[in-house]
Order: sequence, then C-alpha cells, then structure tokens
Amino acid sequence: MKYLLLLLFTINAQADIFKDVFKYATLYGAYSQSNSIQGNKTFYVTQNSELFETTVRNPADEIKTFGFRKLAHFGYEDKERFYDGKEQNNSLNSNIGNVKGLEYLFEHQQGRQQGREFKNKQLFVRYLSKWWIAKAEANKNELVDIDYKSLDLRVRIPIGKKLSLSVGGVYRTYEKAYGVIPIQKYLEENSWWNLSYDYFNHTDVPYEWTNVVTGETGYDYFWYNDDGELISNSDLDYRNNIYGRLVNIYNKEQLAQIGSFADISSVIGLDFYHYRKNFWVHAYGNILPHHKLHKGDERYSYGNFIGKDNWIDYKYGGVFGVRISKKLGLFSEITMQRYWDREIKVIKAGVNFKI
Amino acid sequence: MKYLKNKICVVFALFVSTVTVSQSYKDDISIVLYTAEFIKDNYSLKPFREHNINTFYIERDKKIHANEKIIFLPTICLYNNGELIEKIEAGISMKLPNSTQERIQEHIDNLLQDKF
Repeated sequence: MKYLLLLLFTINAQADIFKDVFKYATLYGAYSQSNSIQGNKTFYVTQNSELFETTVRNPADEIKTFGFRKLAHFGYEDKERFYDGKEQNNSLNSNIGNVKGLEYLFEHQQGRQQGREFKNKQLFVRYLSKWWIAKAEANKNELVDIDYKSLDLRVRIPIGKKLSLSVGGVYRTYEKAYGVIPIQKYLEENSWWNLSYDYFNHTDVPYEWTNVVTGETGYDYFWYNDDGELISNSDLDYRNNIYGRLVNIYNKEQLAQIGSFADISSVIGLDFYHYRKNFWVHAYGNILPHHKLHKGDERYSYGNFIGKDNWIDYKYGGVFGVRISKKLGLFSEITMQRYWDREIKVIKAGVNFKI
Repeated sequence: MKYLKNKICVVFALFVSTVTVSQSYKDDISIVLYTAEFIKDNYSLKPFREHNINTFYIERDKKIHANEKIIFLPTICLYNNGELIEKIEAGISMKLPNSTQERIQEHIDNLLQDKF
C-alpha cells in the first residue's frame, strides 16, 4: 500500500513537472527561400579579343529552421502568428524575462546565404525566481563567427516590481584566442614567402624582365603550387590573389591548435521594465569587472593579451516607445555589447505618423 | 552647463521613481481585491500568488477605492499592464460568486498564452 501511494505520488509529481515545463511551449519548423544579392557583372577579355562573362551568380538564399521554444514576449514586441526562426526576442538579451519560472529556446538552422553554407545552433534555458536567476546558453553562429557557451548564476534583488538588481558569477567558454593574430607573430620572425614555402609547399622561380619600350629591366618570380602548376606571374599578383587565402588558412589552423578557453567572471546586472499600451521602457545591463581563466593556454588567454584580469566586459540595451497620439508614435532601441575584443552595436530609432 | 549632468540625473531619478511606484498594483498580471476589514471570511488571493496580488481595504485605502470606482464590496479585479481585464463584484450577500477563481484563472491562462 505504501509503495502504491508512493508510486501515485511520483506519477502525479511527474505529471505536474511535465505540465510546468512544456505548457505554452511551441515546436516549430520552417523553410524560407529568397533571392540572394548579386554582384556586378564581370567580364574577361582574351588576347584574341574574345569576351567571356565571368559574373559569379549566387544561388538563392535558403534557411531551414527547427526549434522548440517557450519564451515569453515583452508587451512591446510584436507577436508573430507563426514562428519561423527570424524572431528577435529581447528576453534573450535581458536578465529578466516577462514571466517567472522556466523559459527556453532550442533552435537549429541550416542554409545558405550569399552562396555560403552555414549551420547555426542556439540553446537558451533560464529559470527566473523571485530571489535568484539561473541561465545556460550555447550559441554557435557560423554567419557571424560566434561560438560560445555560458552558465550564469545570480542572486536577484527586486527593487519594487519593475527594477531588479542581480549579482553573481558567469562561466563563459570561447573557442578562439581573442586578440591573438598568429600571422603577425609569424611575420615578426620570418619573411612573408617562408609561409608559402614551409606551410603550403609553394615554390618560386626568379626571372628577369625587360620593358621593350623603355629598356627598363628588373626581376620577379613565377609562383608554382605543390603540384608544380603555375599559379602566379609575379610577387605582387601572388600576394594580391593567393597569399591572403594562405594567411587565413594559417591563422585558422594555428588558432585551432591553441584550443578553447573558459573564464569565470563576476557579474552585476540591472533590469527595468515598464509597459503600458502607450508608453514603454525596457532597460537592461550587465557589467563583468573581474575574470579568472579557468581553462585554456594562459599564454594566449585574453587576460594575458591585454595584460590584466580586470578588464570590463559589458552588455546593455534598452527599448523605448511612446504613442503620443493615435497618429504619432516614437520608438528607439539600442543594444551594446563588448565581450573580450568582440563588439556588437545595434541602434534603431524612428517615428511613425499615420495619415 | 555645469549643472546639466546633475539636472539630468535628478530628472532621470524622478522618472524612474515615478514610473516604479505609479499604479504598480496594476503591473503585468495583477489581481486586486477591494474589500473592507469588517467583512469576515474575506476572499483569499492565495491561489494567484504566482502573480502580483494586492488587497485594499476601504478603511485604509479610500482614495484607491474611489479612483477605481468600487461600488460593491468585495470586488476583485484582474489587470494586465494597467488594463482592466475582469471585474467581479459581490452581491448583496457581500460574497464573491463561487466561480470567481475559475473565471479569473481562465483569463490568466489566456493572458499567459498570449505572451508565448
């Protein structure tokens, strides 16, 4: 009998948890396609004056999105009839959502933009209680080259019903050694052509040239790839058209060898939200003043790069809107972020007048 | 110019305090009970404690009762961001209808659903 009661209690408790976790959640999938931006027409003319069009045509942009979300909108945010992955929710930026309890977003996007394939993944889970906040985030966006994970735990101090102060710690990972430019270090110790020889097996052969009109002479180099094919007729052409790509590959490989990092940082946050139909203000901000490297090669850490561990990372933003009359309205939105040496700035402002 | 920063700070502080305090009992989803101390067995707002709950007694908060044009006691109001969503008034027996909780809860469910 005891076990039966315990079983019934467990089933009931599980049913309640299931209801709390999934109530108001939306599972969604979407596909969108649109024309990509095309560059100007380009042509190539042969020695025999034959004309060839060499315009690069980008295939159509497309995005496939799959997601599962339970994320409340703020009063000023337009609620889409259907979710398609293009929603911009300030709830992801602010510390406080528009509901207490659990909110989450899991989204996978895959597609092509301007001919470039990409895969984006976003995970966001937040639990907001009256006295504490817990947040876990993972974001990989290949279009804007962001890849990080974070875990944020804070004590929350509500000041009235609209203002909230929060203090705690954040564990953040980052995949790149921010501030480190491997090629810069390489060029301090080597000549530029060593990279071509040593890392890409390119070879050069010198030749002498003569300007038949002026009689001027000089030297330059033919450049060959590792298959022995001629890839460039001069150093200048080689550096203009080939060397830049090699530098990018070198930087990427060297950064990958350095590996990822993780910092533990202290954080202070402030949130303010006031909404009425005709007037709303939503402001949020975070300051991360102290950091400690938890994982990664200290030589390449961001703290080592700038020479201190008390640099200030910050993120703040705000939304303001007012309907002055039935016809006239003003709005503005701002988001500023500086994490390590990465900055994000978004500013919007406008006026609407209905005639 | 010298005092401009201070003036801006004062204006900002006044703005924040005004907005923070003003009619905060109607913020977000709020359930407000307008009642009187002499009414025994007052309606309990405990089922709605996940949201903002407030009780105003006519003896202490006469002004609020007058502003909200409360005629019957007790009266229960549901607000969403300052907007009145539902008002349930007691009858001559000074008791709220038995269906009060269900009616309020139904509106709250709809408001929450609209947020997601």
